[in-house]
Amino acid sequence: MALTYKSILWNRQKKRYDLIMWGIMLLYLGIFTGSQFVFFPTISPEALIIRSTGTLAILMLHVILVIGPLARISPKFLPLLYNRRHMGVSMFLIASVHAGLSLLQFHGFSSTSPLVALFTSNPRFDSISQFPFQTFGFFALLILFFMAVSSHDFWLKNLSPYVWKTLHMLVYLAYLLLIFHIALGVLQQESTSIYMYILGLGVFLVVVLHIVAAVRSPKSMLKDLPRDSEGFVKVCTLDEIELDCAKVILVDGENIAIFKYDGKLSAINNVCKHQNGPLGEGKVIDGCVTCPWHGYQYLPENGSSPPPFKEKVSTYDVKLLGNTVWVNPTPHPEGTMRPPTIIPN
Amino acid sequence: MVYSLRRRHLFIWIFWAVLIPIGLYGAFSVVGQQEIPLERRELYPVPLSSQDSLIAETKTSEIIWTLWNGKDSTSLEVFAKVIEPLSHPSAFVYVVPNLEAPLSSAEVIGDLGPVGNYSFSIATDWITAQGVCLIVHDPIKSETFHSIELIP
Repeated sequence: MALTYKSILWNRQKKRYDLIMWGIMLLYLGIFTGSQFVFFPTISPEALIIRSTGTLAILMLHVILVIGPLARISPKFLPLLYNRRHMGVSMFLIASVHAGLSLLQFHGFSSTSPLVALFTSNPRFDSISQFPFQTFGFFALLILFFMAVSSHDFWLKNLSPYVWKTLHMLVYLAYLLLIFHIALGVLQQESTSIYMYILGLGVFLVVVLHIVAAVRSPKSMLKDLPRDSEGFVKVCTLDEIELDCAKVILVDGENIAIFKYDGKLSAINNVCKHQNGPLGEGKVIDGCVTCPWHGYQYLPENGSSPPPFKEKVSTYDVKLLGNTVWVNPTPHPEGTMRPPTIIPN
Repeated sequence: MVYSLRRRHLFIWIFWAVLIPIGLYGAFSVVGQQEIPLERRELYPVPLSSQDSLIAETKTSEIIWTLWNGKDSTSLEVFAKVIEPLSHPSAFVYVVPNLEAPLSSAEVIGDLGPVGNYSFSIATDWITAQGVCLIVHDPIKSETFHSIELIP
């Protein structure tokens, strides 16, 4: 997290990540180029760039799309999630090279504008095999462009996390368009079916991982819990909450994370103010609840980010009766101090 | 992620899980059924030997075409010298029975690229009363932009 906006938010870890990412990208381009020269010695440089950047971009998009569900399934993948935005922008840059050069090669150098030619040179919208597949790529790139330019925290803050997240879900539409761009484009000219199987495998992995991650509730999320006369909800026994971790409940539409830390219990809203990340899947680090997605931090007793940061989430009352943890699902205003419940020795 | 967004994710991907396989099946089932029999193969230059003899020659705005006898009695060699950058970067050369014949009867013999020399081998069966008929077709734009008759 950062107090002020920067054009690119780099820290030591992100710089290292970006170096590794671009190293792998260059390695891929090198291997792909070499293999193309071996198997297709007459290939032209422009065709080589179009092929290599196109394959790299779709490969990166698959990686980007599986990071989210993998991070939900296993916390081991959270570091990738933390750096995913840089990969998304890098993928857009590579896809832009592919698209720009394709537009120039296939539709440039004539009296018709390349963009007009893109939509008018092949009018076979009524045919599957002859479908003007380039239009799919155009609209997908348009979505990726808007996502890349709005990826900055400035837009996240001003659009609100909910709107921003909803807009960025358009990447799923872009993915659909790109799959059809490939299937109706280059694969129509392939005599071997191996590329179809590779594409099918990629789609299978992305779709299955997303569905599995979406239907799977967080390990500790509880629902339909008993209440007492004061409106408190019975959560669990004290032993069921690991130290510096949380138990998450969903009650009356409130997503509440109850943390056990430093001999105390506190409850805050489970939704991070940054990108709606699941705070209850994070840990208490240096006395602060730390979001597993991007490291945003909140003090567990008042739901406020430590100064000078200003993010705040709702807090809830917690009580401990015997060995049983109870929470009142009625939220206090964001940032309201609630004294932690002390765990007796 | 908030509950509503997670539910939206789920619905989108369930929809995609149905839509994408149907789309892929539809796309893959028409591979090879294009109106133009576009073969994908990389062609290597066919060297012209000294005993080859010129049969016919013609010129279009971008390409000089010559037809030569092949190394044996069953083959001919088509030599294309691209002298100007092609207006259509995706350019496949087809041999056809005659210039009025449908594209479905054409056979691809190779592709053209930047300015340079290209040579292709064809069977003598393709010689007709009009000589050897060739077309240069852009499969991306579905447009034939050169029609050539090499008449002996």
